[in-house]
Amino acid sequence: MGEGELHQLIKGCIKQDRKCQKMLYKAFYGFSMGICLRYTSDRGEAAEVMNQGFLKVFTHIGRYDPERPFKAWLGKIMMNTSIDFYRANLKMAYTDDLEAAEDVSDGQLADKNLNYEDLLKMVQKLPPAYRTVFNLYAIDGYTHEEIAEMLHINSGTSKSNLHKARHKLKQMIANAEKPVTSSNYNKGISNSTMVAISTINIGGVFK
Amino acid sequence: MDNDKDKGLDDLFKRKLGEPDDPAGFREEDWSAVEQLLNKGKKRGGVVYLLPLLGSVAALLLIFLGWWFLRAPGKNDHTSPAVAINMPHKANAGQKETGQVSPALQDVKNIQAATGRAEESKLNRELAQKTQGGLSGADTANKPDIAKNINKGGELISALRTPPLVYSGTVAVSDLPLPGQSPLPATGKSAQLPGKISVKKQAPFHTQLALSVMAAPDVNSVGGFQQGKLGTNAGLLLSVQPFRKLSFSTGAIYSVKPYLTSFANYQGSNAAGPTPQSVQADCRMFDIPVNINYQVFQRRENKIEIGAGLSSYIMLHQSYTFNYANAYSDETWNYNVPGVSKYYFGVFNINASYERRINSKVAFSIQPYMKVPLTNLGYSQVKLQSTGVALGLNWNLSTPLKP
Repeated sequence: MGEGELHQLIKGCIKQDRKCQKMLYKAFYGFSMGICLRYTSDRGEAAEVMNQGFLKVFTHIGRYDPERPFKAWLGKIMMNTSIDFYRANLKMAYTDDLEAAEDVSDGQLADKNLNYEDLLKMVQKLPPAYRTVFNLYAIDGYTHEEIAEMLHINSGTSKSNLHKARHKLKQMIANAEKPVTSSNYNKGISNSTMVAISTINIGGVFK
Repeated sequence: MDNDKDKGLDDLFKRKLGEPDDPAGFREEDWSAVEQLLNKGKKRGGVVYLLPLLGSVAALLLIFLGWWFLRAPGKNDHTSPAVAINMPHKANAGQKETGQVSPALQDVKNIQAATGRAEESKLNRELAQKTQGGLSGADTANKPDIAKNINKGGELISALRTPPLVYSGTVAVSDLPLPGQSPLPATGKSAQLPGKISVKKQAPFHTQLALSVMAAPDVNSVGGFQQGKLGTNAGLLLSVQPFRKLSFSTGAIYSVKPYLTSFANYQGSNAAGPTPQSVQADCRMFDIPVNINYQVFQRRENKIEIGAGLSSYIMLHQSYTFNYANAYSDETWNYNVPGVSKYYFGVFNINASYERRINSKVAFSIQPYMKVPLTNLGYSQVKLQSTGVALGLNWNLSTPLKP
């Protein structure tokens, strides 16, 4: 979608034109769902969070600064909505004993075909507190101090949760069955009969 | 070494999950869900716009109705057992009416009207005859004037009539003095005629039931009313009065309580990013009060009560807007709390009310009140307090006592 077309859509959304709203929704559906999927535990939750995010987008689109990239603005809204959802459903009982994680060697991982769906599933299996911190730190690039402010925790807790998240992910990777050829996760993906399978080059990842 | 491994793991997930190669495909049902949210927001917007307006209209209507009903004199005074009787009195022509009708006895005119103009005319004629018969020679010349005045009927009689006399109790009609006779002795409000007057005793008290419609604007804030925001309330109340001076009331009031507070008071979710400066909240709820009221004053149509009790808030909608000090155009975040939140008996009510009875069934009331939180309220967990003035129209549901 070109810049001009996007701005036309945004203008239409400001006027609360339903058609423009739907077109904008469709255009950024995949991007938004991708963010919400990794902050939630399943697609149903992700859809709910995404829709709440889009509601904020359509409500506050008049405040969008055209000088800034729309995708970044939208992405931030989705991320914040995901965090709000996490806060609203905060479960305190996420303490669990960490089992000793297997040290994953390069050779072991080379045999595993870990694609997008597999990694996404692993992240979704994490307890909400670990998942949120991992997403914010590892994928979205926030510091522990920023994460602490966002989640109303201290930076020590943020570091601890990140460590635990990584620990669990390593476990899942080590336990992953080989080879992973398909996943039924992408239910609802329209016109997609094949799941992209790619061998991840993990050379140098686990040195 | 471990740090490198961790970094490698992070990079792996960032590469694969940060920008998915095959993003999730569009689903129509997801759009339908958003559309419903958008439509809901529009409807609520309408209600939000209308609610303060409706509340104000209801309050003005109540004031107008109260004023309108209070313009007409009360016809049924159930609180006073006194019977006021107006009797014509022998007087000379030209005699000015002496004394003044006390305000409390204006109702006598209503009784006169009730007895019928025919009787009054008869009395007028008898009085005119006696008056003419008692005139001195000097006044004879005024006979035509008197006749004119008499012919005017009530006007002369009104001029000649003495102030009405009030008796406590009942007086048999046969005992009323005829024109020309001395009136029955009356001393103020409680004239006692031995053997003739039976003073009515105060009627036994029966449990009273009343339904009220109320509307109230109020001010809501957290920690003092400096940053108070105007809210509206409207609802129905039911009160039961099992004792003469004691009553209990409860009901359901739909309240819109907006407030503004410093982010330091906010204990709920953060909207992420830099620390907000303030939080603006919009809370809609059902207020379920349970109050006990004590009557401190009651006379004729007027009653004053003081009351206290506890309220439960059933929060149907909570919306929070976070305001940032260095705001970009997109740095105001909004969070809508999903679901319904309940806070049972979390608010202490205190009020004083003045009620003016319009007739045996209807009364108008005005009630300043204050609501003090006993616990943290809402998703933001703040001490939300409110103060306002409620205007009510009360309908007495009790069956009137048979005489």
